[in-house]
Formats: sequence, structure tokens, C-alpha cells
Amino acid sequence: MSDASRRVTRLGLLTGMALVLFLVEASLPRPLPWMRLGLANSAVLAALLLFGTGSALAVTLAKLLLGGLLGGGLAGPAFVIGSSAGLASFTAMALCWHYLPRLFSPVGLSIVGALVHQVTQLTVAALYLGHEGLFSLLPMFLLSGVASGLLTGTATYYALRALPDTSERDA
Amino acid sequence: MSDRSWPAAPAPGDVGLILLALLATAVLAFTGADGQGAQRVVIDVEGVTRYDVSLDSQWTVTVDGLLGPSVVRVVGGRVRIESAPCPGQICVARGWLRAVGDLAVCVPNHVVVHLTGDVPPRFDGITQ
Repeated sequence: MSDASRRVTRLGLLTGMALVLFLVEASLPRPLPWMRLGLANSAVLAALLLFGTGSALAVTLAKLLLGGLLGGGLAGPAFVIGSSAGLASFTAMALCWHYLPRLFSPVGLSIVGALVHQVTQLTVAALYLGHEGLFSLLPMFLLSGVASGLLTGTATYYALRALPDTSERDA
Repeated sequence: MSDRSWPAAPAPGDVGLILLALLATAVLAFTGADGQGAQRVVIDVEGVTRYDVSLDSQWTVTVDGLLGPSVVRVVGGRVRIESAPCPGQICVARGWLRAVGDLAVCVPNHVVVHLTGDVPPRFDGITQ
């Protein structure tokens, strides 16, 4: 396979994985309505670690766009809030991976992403409503961010470890 | 191509980050409203304060938000959003509000219910 077609195949697979996880999660009951596992984020994290920033950004954008279409449309506050949070989360994980490569394991990167996701979500919602009182929810959001980041990060970590090194296998 | 090497979990940064986040959560939770002195229920719809009533009343009101009617009920010194036209129902699940600073938010319907009042001062006139 040429490099270009290999790249497209990988991106397609990762995006498909993100969407399946997104839909699986949407069908799960949630302990509290604002708590989400963010399983789809593990596809973004895997793309970042295996194939670099460009691929991870592509998966993030595809996930947000297709997830928005499947979820409830591209208009409305939910999409704006979710997209801002998703992009901020990707940016934070990419920056940490590139500039602090020895500090965090994939689990730590996932927690970084989850925390930034939660804070961005709350900030954009507060801006949208013009109500800074929303920040009283911050402790709860941080706590659920740590929990969900830890869970999805651990899942991603073991998934990556179980993965054979495809870069050598299909060369 | 990436070299597929990253620190094993748990890395020092992982542990530090979790501790830091838990510490921040604890500090924020304890410096927030302290649960006393709630007196008024304020209902904002689309950024405008529509109602400001005493928390000691018994009162149910239907407010029209962006999507439709949200029902807010005040009873026994507490208030909740009883029903809402939004898909997520996060505001309804928020349950009863009791303390100053507590709030229930419905982002899709653009309705915010929160409690205000005289929060007991943390400092007296001299130390202030």
C-alpha cells in the first residue's frame, strides 16, 4: 500500500471507531445526566499517539461533525459547546504529548483531555447563558473529568499495548 | 511514523495531575457557597431575570423558554425545575436547590434558576 492510501485507511478506521464508541456510549444509561465517559476520545488519543497531530485533528473534526449530525444536528448550543470542548481537549493533549513527552502516560494524557473538555464546556455554557454562576458546578465537573479520563485512558492504554506494531507488519 | 514509545502508566505526571485535580475540586467545593442564608429564588429566561420571589413561599410557575414551557416549583424553603422541554433533562435531574449559589440550568431552553440571599460574612467589621 502507498503511504497516502495507508494513511486514509487508518484515518477511516479510527474515525469509524470513534463513531461506534460515540453511539455505544449514547445508548448507555448515565449515572448523572451531565456525566459522560467520553469513550470516543480514546480514538483521538490513539490517533495522536500512533500517527501524530494531523491524524488526531482529522479524527477529532470528523468525530465532532458526524457525531453532531447523528446526535442532534449542527445547530444549537449543544453542538457549539461540544465542539469547542472537543477541540480544546485535542489541543491540550497534543501540546502535552509534544512538549512534555515524558511526563504523562496515555492515561495521564486522557485525564488532561477530559479536564480541559469539562472546563471548556462549562466556560462556553456560561458565556452562552451569560451566567457566571455556572462555575459553582466546577468541582463536580472536575471530579467527573478525572473519573472519566482515568477510565477511558486506561482502556486506551491497554488497547494500544495489545495492538501489534502495524508500521512494521504491513511495510 | 511515531516511535510508539510513551511512559508506562502510572507515570509521575499522571499521579500529580490526579492529585492536583482532586485538590482543586476540594478547595473549590469548600470555598463555594456555604449553604446558608438563601432567601430569594431568581429565574432568568434568555438572559433576563423574569422572577425574583421569596424562597419561603409555596409557588409553582411555568416560564416560557426558547423551546417551550419549564415548570419551576418552590416549596418548603427549596426549589426545583419540575419539568422542561429539553432533550437532556439535566436541569430536572439537578433536583432541589437549597443554598445560596445553587443553581439549575437548562441550556437548550435558556432557563436558569438560582438562589440568592445574604451569605453570612466570612469576616467581621474589624478583620475586614
